[in-house]
Amino acid sequence: MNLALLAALLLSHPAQAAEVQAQLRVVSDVPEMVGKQVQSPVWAPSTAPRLVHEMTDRDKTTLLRIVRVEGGETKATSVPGARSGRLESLGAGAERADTGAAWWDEGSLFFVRAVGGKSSLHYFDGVPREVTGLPGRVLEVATDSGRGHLFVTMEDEGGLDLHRMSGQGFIEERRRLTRSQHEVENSLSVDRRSGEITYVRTSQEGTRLGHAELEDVSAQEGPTAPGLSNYELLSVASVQGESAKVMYARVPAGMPDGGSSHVLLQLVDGKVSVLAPGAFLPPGLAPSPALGPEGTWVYYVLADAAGGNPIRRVNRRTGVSEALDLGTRFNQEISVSGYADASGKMVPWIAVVAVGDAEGDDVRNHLYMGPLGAWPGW
Amino acid sequence: MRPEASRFVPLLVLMLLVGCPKSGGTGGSGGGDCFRDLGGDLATARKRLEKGKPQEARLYVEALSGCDAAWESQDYLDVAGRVSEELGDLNGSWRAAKAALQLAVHDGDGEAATKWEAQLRIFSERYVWLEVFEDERERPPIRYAGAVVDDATLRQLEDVAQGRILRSSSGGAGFWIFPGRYKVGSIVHTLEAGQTFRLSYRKEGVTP
Repeated sequence: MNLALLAALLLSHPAQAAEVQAQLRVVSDVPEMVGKQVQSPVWAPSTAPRLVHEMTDRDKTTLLRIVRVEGGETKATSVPGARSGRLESLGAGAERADTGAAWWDEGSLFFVRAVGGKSSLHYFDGVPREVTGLPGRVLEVATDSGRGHLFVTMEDEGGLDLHRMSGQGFIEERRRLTRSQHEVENSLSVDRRSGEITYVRTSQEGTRLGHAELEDVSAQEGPTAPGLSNYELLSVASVQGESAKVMYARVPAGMPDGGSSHVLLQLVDGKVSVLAPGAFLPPGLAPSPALGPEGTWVYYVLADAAGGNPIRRVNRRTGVSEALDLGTRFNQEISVSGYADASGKMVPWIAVVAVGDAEGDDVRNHLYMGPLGAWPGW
Repeated sequence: MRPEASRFVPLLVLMLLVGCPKSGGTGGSGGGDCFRDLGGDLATARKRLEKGKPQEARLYVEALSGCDAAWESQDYLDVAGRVSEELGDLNGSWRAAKAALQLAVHDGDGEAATKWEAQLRIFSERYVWLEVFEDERERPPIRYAGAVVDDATLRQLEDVAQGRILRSSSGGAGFWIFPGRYKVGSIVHTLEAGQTFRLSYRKEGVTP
């Protein structure tokens, strides 16, 4: 066994701390969501709590739904299939898959719309608006609105590559950051303070990180560390304003549970460590690790089917780990952000995709959300 | 030709040049000097709409706009309104629906009038009503503040800038625009579907 990997595992038994309690509400137990399952919640960079999530029906049609917290109440709107209401009522975009939402600002977001073999980039600020003039199929999008930058992975005749776009209509300045015939770039993570992007590169040889700084004309080799190449990297999140990266990875074959179980890793200062062994990931593309608003706590779902896949958080600086008692069971995925209350105090808000409604008599994936602390009216 | 049709003249010239849609025979339901087949052209326009090709449907609608009979047909106004809406010409769509309602009332067709009233209500719930005071000579400038602008939005804001005012169901003056992020004066607002926003120096803000 690789010594660095062994050392990383030995460091992966964090101290246990007290349980954190919170009162979450189910926000998907509404008529418009009957027969639909929730996935991929993403919090907005807004003043009041707001998120977007995907909802998929049995036909695999996927729509986006935005949930806003206003006072102590929640309000929801869905991203329509067409700009024209009449066109939508005639069935336009009825069988679409809207995925990969990335907030641009507090009131608008980009997403990928797949309809009938076409996969295009759209913007939603009240109506869906297509970003036209792109030469290929768009697969993923990430934003840096402060600099007016969009990052997309796009598949064209040259293969699937990462592009940085800006300027008028986002087609005025488009730079192809990667030119990789045999690699796939995914899990785009932007550090909005520096404008850098980090992502996962996957090829037949394995996985590693890719990286491009603000002024780079092409992407570079991403940060790495001894032992990192043993893991199959699945997703990455950049700690804002720091060099640290947090990743989900598959445990290497040849180790206990190797090849099937997942871990939460941290890469900082050329060292990799296991923040949490036995992390649960939902089927499909791995979500990005859920960093708290200060960038210190990392929230994750523990793979413990007998215990209902409890939610925990680990302090990535100290290794202290805490359990969260949120009242949800069979948790699937989580997202965390911070919002200031009336006094200006930053309160973390968590969104949890979990199986079952409040009564526990429904086996669909539902969405629960709430503050990890006091919030007026909640 | 009615005044409403005059702005379609350049397009009519274009249609003659490209030969689409073809002119109908004299047996159609067009009136006066119109030689188009109203029913046939509307059926074709509907098919183009159903196929998601409103630009093609528009050619037929605009070709028919020179026919007096078209303006007396709720079917024509229906298709014209749908084409306008799908091309983002919300004010044109509203005008067509209002004209259809007036036609239904004039014809004593209560069922149709109810349908058009419902259409106008649904329309109001889908878009943003930008309300103005007609007697106010200067209004706060409004511009699109979202990340992706399209031609339809720019055209809607051009209508606002040019003061091409409409009447709402309640008789108020204003314009229809897409929901979205707009900068009014120096403040960025997120205008939502179904919202009325007063564009005025007298009282700037959102009204329910």
